[in-house]
Amino acid sequence: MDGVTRMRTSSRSSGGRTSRAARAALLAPGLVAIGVSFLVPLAWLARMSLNRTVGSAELQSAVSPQSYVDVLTDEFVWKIAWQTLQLGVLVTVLAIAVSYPIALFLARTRSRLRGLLMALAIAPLLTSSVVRTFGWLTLLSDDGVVNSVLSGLGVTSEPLTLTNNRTGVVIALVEIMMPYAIIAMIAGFGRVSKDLEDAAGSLGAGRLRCFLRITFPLSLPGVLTGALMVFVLTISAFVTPRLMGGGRVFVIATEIFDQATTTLDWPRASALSILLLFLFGVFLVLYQRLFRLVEGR
Amino acid sequence: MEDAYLVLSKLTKTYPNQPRPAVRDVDIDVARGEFISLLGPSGCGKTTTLRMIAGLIVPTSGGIRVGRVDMTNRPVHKRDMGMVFQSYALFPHMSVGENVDFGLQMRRIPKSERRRRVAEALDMVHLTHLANRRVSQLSGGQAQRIALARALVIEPTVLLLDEPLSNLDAKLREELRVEIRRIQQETGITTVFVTHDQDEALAMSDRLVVMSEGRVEQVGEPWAVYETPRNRFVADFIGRTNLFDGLAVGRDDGLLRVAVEGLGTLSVRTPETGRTSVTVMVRPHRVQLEPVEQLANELKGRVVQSSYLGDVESVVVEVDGVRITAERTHSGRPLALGAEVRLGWGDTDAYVIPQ
Ligand SMILES: Nc1ncnc2c1ncn2[C@@H]1O[C@H](COP(=O)(O)OP(=O)(O)OP(=O)(O)O)[C@@H](O)[C@H]1O
Ligand SMILES: [Mg+2]
Repeated sequence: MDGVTRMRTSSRSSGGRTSRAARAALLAPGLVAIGVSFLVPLAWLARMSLNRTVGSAELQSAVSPQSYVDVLTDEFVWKIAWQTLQLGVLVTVLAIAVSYPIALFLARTRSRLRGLLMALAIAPLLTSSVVRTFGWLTLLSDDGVVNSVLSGLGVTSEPLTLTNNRTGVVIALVEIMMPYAIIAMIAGFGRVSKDLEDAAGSLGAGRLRCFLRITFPLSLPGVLTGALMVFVLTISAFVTPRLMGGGRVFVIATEIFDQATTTLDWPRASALSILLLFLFGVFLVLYQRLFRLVEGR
Repeated sequence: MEDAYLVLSKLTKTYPNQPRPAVRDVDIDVARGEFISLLGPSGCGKTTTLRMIAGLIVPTSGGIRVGRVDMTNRPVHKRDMGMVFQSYALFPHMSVGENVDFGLQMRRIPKSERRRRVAEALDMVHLTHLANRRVSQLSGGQAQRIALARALVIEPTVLLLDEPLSNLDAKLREELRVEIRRIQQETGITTVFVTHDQDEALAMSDRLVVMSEGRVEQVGEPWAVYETPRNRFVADFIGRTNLFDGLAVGRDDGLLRVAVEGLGTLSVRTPETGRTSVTVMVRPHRVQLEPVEQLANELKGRVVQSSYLGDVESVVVEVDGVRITAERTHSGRPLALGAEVRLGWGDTDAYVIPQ
């Protein structure tokens, strides 16, 4: 009797150990990849941000908060941080607004073309955002397609300035972010269901009230996930603000680039990067709070 | 029916790109306060029919009427019908109380009255204490009761239930069966209940509608459908049964004599059918093993299968190549395989299926 019990216990615990070892083994490649490609550079970045720059672009090894102090007391940094946030919010709101109906449609359709439509919606991801930005440049430039059509129709006499400014950056970013928004939202629409909408209908809710009271609230987790995705990608976007902004739109990412390549102030660039990362963290926490709220847990 | 309340006439639905209609020419009259079950095998069109009544599916042709009002083209939210879904379909972002309140809010009923009616509805399903619970914290049985309360609180003209019990375990199912029937009788609401569980349908309904492949096979009270099925499909689908195909060879004194291969000539008390090729039905519990009295039909055979089910023993006896299922209720020790047994049934224990 005793022997049997002991055998059972030991076999169970050894089983547990094996599966734990197996789990560790399965996780290892991923952990190594994350470690090498993310944590190591991050540690390097954090270390770099504590170094100092003396004179013009001479790197001096140190452990000093000087770069952070410089960055945080620089009014220009605050200004571009504010602009970055504004851009992030604006692009997020617009990208979510235009993607929402598409995502909702794709999530609910029973059409045989669903797969094809889905592929079409995310196909833009097949080209890099550099290429797509150049595409928008040719569309929106002073003698581009949009302005030619507008002046051809006599709608405008002067070409609209749609490039080398914020407007162009916003337009291009919104379009570039749409596939991400759509994917993230569809993934988060799991609680939207036909049965619930039917139930609301049978209880007397017309289409609009059904959407406002049932479909929309249940889609909020998806909206939040999409918004976080778009927001994070937007405030860290570099290529599009740089190219569409024509050097006149400043965001944190372009500033980091300038500090690292033009001014060659690596500690300052690193400090800015760490601050941007900190900002991501803040929004991630905010997102989780909101998510729990809309999930109703 | 003179006082038909819910009337389906020639209701037909063909889904897009489907060769055959899922529901075809369904005519059903439901009286006010009646509990009617749609029963049939999977895919026979029960859900489609129910959803057409609810307004969730647009019929291809035919009509739906409640009282004097034509409902055929009325959108779902204006039909005033309560529906309970197999998946419960409780709104996960609302509390139990808010779920029940939803239909009343849609009707713009004053708050004080809403509060009273929600409380009454929760009381009716004995779940008043759960009003503030999250829907995710309910058990299956509780969720289904709440779904019922939510559908009934709006005082619908008709209550529609689509397999409301099929996600529950057997014990709970039986409990809720009784409860649904109690509430239905208390409120006197006209109810259409969809199920593929014949016990459920037999136990709960005033009348059954047996469906197959989109058509209505038979409508009738449970006992009538069980005892006098209109055709072979119904006989086979409702309850266990023995069916013997044979030839009518003679008739005297209200007794039809049917020759069945392997069984000889059987005697069945039946009105004139005027057919020569007939199907005789004998329910297993009407077949007596080792009968003590003289019976109109007596046979000898060997036990080839025996399933002991506790309250009954289901025995399959082979008589000259024909298998006959019998049920013993007073059983004790089950019969041994291969045992020789006598079996029989009276002339009123059999029934000739009309079609
Ligand atoms: N949206 C649809 N498009 C095409 N065919 C459908 C659709 N819904 C149901 N059908 C078909 O119509 C027939 C009837 O379906 P229905 O759901 O009414 O059956 P049911 O009797 O409720 O079956 P079950 O007991 O499995 O729920 C089935 O053959 C089904 O495949
Ligand atoms: Mg069904």
